[in-house]
Amino acid sequence: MVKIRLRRMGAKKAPFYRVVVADSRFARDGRFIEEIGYYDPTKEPSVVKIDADKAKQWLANGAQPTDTVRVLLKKADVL
Amino acid sequence: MPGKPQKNLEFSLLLDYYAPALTEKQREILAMYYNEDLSLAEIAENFGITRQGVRDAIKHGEATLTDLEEKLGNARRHQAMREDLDRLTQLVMEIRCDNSGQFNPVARITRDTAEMLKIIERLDTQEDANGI
Repeated sequence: MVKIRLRRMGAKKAPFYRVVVADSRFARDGRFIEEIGYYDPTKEPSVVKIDADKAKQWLANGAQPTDTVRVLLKKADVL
Repeated sequence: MPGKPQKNLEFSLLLDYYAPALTEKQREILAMYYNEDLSLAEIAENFGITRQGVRDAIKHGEATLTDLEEKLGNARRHQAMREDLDRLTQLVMEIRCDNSGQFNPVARITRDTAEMLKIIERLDTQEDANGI
């Protein structure tokens, strides 16, 4: 199954997340198919930037967002 | 927000501060859950344990992290310090700009503000380097 999930990047104590499309079979080794946005909770207010076209395309193709990403997609007006 | 409760990404940050206080398994499981955004089922599969086992490990780990932050407050303090340092940098930069915009900039202000910026930077990186 293809999933849309967050992946933490950024330095220690300064979290920063990418929104990535990944195959759930490779959940272990961190491979991902495409990066479609990012989420920066360190800013006030937090910044969510998602490529809406790509996100919609992946969703239409059956990609499953995690609960966390679902919230971000709503924030970014994709869902 | 209706539906299932969301992951609280605050724990991802607390993990940076207090990970050494967790068991190795809790640490790995919490990192997968919060930093890789894996589901309970996916983590269970990776470890060859039950979903309930993963859930318990996460709950125990979270309890430890919450408890430590309540008692030690490192994350809270560090955040406040960061904000203060940012503001301080801004103020020093303003003084520097005002000075360099003068017809006759005061050499001492240029020199001293440069030193201030260096000290601020050092404090900032020291804060990062500190462990638990």
